[in-house]
Amino acid sequence: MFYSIWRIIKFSSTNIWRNFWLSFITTSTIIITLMSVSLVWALQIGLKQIISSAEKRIDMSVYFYPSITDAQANSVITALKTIPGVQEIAFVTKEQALANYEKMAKDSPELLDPLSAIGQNPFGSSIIIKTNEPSAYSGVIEELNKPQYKDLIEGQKKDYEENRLFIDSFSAFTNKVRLSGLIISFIFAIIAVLLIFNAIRVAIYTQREEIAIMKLVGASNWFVRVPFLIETAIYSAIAIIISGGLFFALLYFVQPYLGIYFGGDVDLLGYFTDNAVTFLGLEFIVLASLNVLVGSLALRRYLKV
Amino acid sequence: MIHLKGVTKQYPGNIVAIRNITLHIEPGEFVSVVGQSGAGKSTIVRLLMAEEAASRGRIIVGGWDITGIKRREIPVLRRQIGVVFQDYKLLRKKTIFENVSFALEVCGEPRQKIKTLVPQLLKIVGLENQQRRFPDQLSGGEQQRVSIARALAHRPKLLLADEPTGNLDSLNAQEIVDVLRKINELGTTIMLVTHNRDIVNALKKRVITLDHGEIISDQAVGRYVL
Ligand SMILES: Nc1ncnc2c1ncn2[C@@H]1O[C@H](COP(=O)(O)OP(=O)(O)O)[C@@H](O)[C@H]1O
Ligand SMILES: [Mg+2]
Repeated sequence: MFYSIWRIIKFSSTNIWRNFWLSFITTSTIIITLMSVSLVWALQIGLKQIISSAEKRIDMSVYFYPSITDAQANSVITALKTIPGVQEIAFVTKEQALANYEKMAKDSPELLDPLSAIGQNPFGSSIIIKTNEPSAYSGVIEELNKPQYKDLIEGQKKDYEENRLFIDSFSAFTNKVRLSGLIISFIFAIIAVLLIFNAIRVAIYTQREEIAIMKLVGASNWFVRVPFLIETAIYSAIAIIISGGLFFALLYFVQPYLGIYFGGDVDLLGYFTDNAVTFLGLEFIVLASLNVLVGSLALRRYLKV
Repeated sequence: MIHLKGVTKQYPGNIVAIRNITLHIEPGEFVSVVGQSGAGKSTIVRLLMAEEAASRGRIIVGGWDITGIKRREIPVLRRQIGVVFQDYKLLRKKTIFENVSFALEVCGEPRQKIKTLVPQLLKIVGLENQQRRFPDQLSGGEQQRVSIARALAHRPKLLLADEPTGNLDSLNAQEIVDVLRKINELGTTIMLVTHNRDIVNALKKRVITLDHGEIISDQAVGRYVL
């Protein structure tokens, strides 16, 4: 058994060297495929992180008339808290509103002039609503449009609408990018499969004399077959190592720029470092099963063992 | 050693290569099979090594009914039968030693056994001093002897030789037949397919003559009759 395993590995590596350029092209194609899948994956994660970071920044402010008391405002808060998706409601009192304004006006005293002209606090209280997803705001808006609130609410801040629009169009864009990425990866995957298939065929062809003699003298079928499968396994392993290395090098290089543009919310390097085992393991499992599948097909067709 | 019972082989396209052949060969026999080209000689060899399946009839080799042999059992059969062909089927890039050891390696034999066995096998065929040479550095007769040494690697009880002298001059051919005779004397059953009249007549052994896929004569001490 030990002899067999060693000899089979010897046979496979002979094969790889004999058809060096074919091995090279096959491995390169697998690398390109893995790279394009990795990039699609990274894009997917990156866009997701961008969206969730944008979603986190969305909130909705509701301003009450100055005449509204805290008790009246609190009844609105109680009503809004029952709406599904509402995560957090912050209450800003009239005094806080005034303080915020004064703080903002610190460097431009002329802004304070109107205040002293009025002689009293002109601000009403307000609330800031956060939901766990953007679509939940429509429930909030529906509630606030009910007639009983008409006399309480002075206005809503439109920020929310703009953010919502950005997220919607960005999501649509994301889906398009993701789709084209998947199509490109798929095309590369098909090319890789064809090349693996072809590599095995050529290996069988260049080894036809050895194979004929192996069969003649009674080598078991798996001894005839396994070297070819090992050969593709070696291509795959090399491809995973190289593409993994390139991919992490790329992330390492790009991450600082991502940090500058998007802040800490977009961290691809962190994501892929945390998930390296899953990521590379999944690549390996998919590739290995693909190899066994393609390899068995090629061998069955070209090698009646 | 070999029992064919009413065996017919029909190839695709309605070509009947052998028709209803019944044949018994005892252990230790040296049998020559003669016949014109296309008579069905090689077909019998292919049936015995399970390269082809019989269309009808039963085939028993060494007590094993291989008529419906399963694919994964074929290697087991092949290790019990040595085969030699007209074209030697040697690997040009391997030395004489490696050509013989290859047969043992691919069947998972331990390295130590291979090291001691291969020189013994080469000695049987008289090539013990040529182990490091390549097939192209040897005469046709010598190359055929290498292929005989390889066929003996698994110590088979049966050796099938399909026109082993077809590419050789009469001197080299005679050497091959002498080697086969020696192997037969060591106890191996031999089926020699040939159409060399001189060899068959000199052998003075059993001769089976095929014509158009049928046995037309089977003599214990035969002569080439066609
Ligand atoms: N694979 C095949 N397919 C179709 N016909 C074949 C095949 N092999 C042999 N034959 C035919 O079967 C007949 C017997 O062939 P063979 O056994 O090789 O004869 P021999 O060895 O006596 O010359 C011939 O007519 C040959 O053409
Ligand atoms: Mg023939």
